[in-house]
Amino acid sequence: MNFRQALLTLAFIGIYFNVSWGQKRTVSNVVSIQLRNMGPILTKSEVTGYYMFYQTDRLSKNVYSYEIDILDQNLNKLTSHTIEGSKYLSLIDGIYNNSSLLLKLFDSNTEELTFTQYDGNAKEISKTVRVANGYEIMVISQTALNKKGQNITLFPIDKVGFVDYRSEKNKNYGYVIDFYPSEVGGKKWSVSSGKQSKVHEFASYIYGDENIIVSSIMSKSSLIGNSVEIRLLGVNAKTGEKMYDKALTDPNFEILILNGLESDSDGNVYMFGNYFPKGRSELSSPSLGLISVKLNNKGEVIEKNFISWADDVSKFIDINEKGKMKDVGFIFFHDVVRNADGNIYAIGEQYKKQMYGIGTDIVVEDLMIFELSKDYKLKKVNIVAKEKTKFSLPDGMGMNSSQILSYFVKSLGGFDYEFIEFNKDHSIFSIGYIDYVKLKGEDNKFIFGSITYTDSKPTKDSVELKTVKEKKSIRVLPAKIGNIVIVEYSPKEKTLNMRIEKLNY
Amino acid sequence: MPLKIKVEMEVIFIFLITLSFTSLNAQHSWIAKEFPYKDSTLKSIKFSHNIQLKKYGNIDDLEKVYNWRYNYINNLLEAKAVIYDESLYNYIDSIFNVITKSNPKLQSMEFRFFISNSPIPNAASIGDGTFIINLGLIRKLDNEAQLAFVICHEISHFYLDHSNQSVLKRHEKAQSKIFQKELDSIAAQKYGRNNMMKSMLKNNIYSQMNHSRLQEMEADSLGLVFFKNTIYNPTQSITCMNLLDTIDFYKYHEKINYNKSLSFENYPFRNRWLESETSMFGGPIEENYWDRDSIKSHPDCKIRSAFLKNSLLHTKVKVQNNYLQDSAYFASVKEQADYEFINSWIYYEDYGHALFFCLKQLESNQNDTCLLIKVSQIFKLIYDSQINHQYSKYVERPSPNNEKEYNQFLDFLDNIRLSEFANLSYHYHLAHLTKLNQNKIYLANYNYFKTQTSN
Repeated sequence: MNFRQALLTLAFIGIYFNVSWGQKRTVSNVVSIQLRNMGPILTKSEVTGYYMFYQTDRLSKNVYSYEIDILDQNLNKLTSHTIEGSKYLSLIDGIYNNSSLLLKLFDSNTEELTFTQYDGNAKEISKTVRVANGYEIMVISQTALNKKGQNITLFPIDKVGFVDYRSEKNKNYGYVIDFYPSEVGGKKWSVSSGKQSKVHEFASYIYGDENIIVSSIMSKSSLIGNSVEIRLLGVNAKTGEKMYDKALTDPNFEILILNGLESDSDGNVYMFGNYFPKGRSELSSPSLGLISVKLNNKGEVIEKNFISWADDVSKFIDINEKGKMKDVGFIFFHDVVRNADGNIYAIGEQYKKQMYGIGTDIVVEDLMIFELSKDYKLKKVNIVAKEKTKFSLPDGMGMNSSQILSYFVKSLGGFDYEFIEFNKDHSIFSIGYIDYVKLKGEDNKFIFGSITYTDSKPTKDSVELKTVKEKKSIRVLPAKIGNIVIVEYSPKEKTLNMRIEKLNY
Repeated sequence: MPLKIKVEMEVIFIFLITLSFTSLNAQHSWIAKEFPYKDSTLKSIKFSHNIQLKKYGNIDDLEKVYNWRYNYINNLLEAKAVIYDESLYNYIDSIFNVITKSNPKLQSMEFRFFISNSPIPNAASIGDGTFIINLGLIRKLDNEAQLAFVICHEISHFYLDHSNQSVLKRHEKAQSKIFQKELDSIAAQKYGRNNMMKSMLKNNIYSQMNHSRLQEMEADSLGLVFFKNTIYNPTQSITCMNLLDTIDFYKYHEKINYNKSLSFENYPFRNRWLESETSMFGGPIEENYWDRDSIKSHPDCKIRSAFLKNSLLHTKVKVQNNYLQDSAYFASVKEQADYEFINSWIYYEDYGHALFFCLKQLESNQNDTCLLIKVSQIFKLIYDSQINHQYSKYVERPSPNNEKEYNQFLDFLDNIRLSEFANLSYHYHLAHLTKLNQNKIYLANYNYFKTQTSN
């Protein structure tokens, strides 16, 4: 059917898009969309809506129109907003900070990045445009090649703004952290390693609130080799002034902080990470265990707790799973959270580097959930067995350390962990992951697995997504507690179906 | 020609609805029978269609529409979405008879009607002399005269050939040089094609809806003429219109008191199940794309009611008949409809509404065993759909379009966990077991939930 025939048909059907019940939504007036162009909007860890970004028309030689839809948690459309841009415009990320929604868009033709904030009525409240540097363009391009890839550089700072992390090439590689305020009169600031830095420096987000943004700074004198120094950088969220910039030291171990949890009324921040044998590089040796650290606003350690794989964790493991802890390899910690009971859950995923010939794979294994008491003592370990999945690394990448590679794998969506979702009072939360099920006499299937903790008790569930032979693209998004949103894109029909489904627990 | 409301008597039969529930519900459900005359009915419809088509010189577009009508009726019968109850059928047939006898112009016309199991208060003229009357319409109306007015309105659509004229108008427009040029122009656009297409479609829909609203006013006007010729009370046309304007669909029955009907000694109802979610932006934001008044297929009931009132200003009301048949029968049909709706919601795979209306009716009649068994069945249906991750197929989620009480009920189903739902269902079955332990399905469901809670 050519365009003219299609027009004629549509003209008299009187329907050119259909909207059914709230929990199912079909968008069909879509010229171009990618599954990464939509995401959840979270209010204090609870999913309260979704955004969608898609191209709808070509307006002139170089101008295209795009639609931004905002849906509520039941997929009812709340509002939409039209913007214009070039053919090369794509959504890099979109996040909500309980006050405004920030969309980070990239135009691959002009190489411009646009940071636009929208208020609760999807009205634009601020816009910043800057030219992306070569390093950013390279990372964005690599991410775009992978269907599950997500460029994770943007983080919400509750109600006050957003921070965006990037690297730039000066004399050496350096970091830049940009803060985009949401509040009227809020200060936009940037901190960076400086153009004259004598070493390469890379920053990654650890924790942020209205008072402080904590980042991990990795500095290397040479890009090759595993010699590295890791520091923590605390920046005043209101002014952008550095509060501290120092390495975490311990007489017995090397420490690598990976996640921030929360801060207390005195401004002390609680963080988690791995610890390693003294003298060995944090980035190349397998870790000895999990560490929790309490840091004051001068960057001084007030409290430390070590949880060793060998001595502590193994006590909580079934005898037939003990082998897993002997050779734990590496664990990538995706999230550290606290529930209403005060228990802390560190959610990690085991991985190993596997070399074959000149190639290297990252083999992703079981999900590991460490349950800690209020005072950071290990209470339980929940190992969620999954099929092993292999993530093939580009040639030559295998020479990097496993820790470095884990960030690369994370940014390209190579881990199976998907997300965590909470209810309002944090008494219930669900951890979601993708698994692969081998079946006898049937096509193997992809499933979405969930572990839901209700008042600290876990329940497992799994939802079939598709068989390996089905060609549709599927993405699972977090939803209001006890639910997931399944997004299916059919390139043939150019339709996008979203449905909200309950989890069993 | 003698008056003939030709309702192929062999016709409509059906009964059905509901999966396997009718046998349990004998005291409340109309008796299901096999539909023995489906083929002959459809044959007769086909014959009638051919005659009507010849009148227009067999226009392609119209043929397609007649085929659609045939398939639509066929599907209704196949899908068992049509209710057949002889007494109800005769009751409505009598109303048709009264109308046609009072209006000589109608006596040569061939009509047929079906009663759909849909709870939505609506009726439709298919355009070939077939009328669909939803059970939901009968439930909504106050009396027989109001139903007669709705039938007069639908007959007027057919008498004025509205449906076919709309098709012909669209056909004419599609063939017109102006429209062809417009299409060519859009198709030839390099830029902004989608926006132009959307604009063209929008204007087309506005134009079609405007035409539809004009037709509705015409049908009201002529319908009132037909109605005034009968011995029904003509002022009931106004009351009927006002009634259709009200949204009391959810208010027929008492509000659900969850702490009474779903709270048990060993498993009390938890108020957190009724909590609604955080709303991101405080509710829906008005969309500007559509001018809402322009996409309505019907004019506002208020406008229609005022029009009818004005038309009756100089009419001396000689008759006050709200009923020509037994008023108690009409009331019993309405009562019966409440039960049938539960079956209908199940039939339309909407377990949320099915359970909601069950629980609402139980508020005023807590020992109604039929309703108690229905709740048992719907609990099982919802539970199984959730286990199979098919919940969203059968139960909708809260939406700004829903009535507040129904949204609260949906919140309850949303919030309750599977394990809690199993427990609640088990304790529900336990609470009524003494009354219903002779009912095989109730007992089977009791044992099922007992097993689920012991796992």
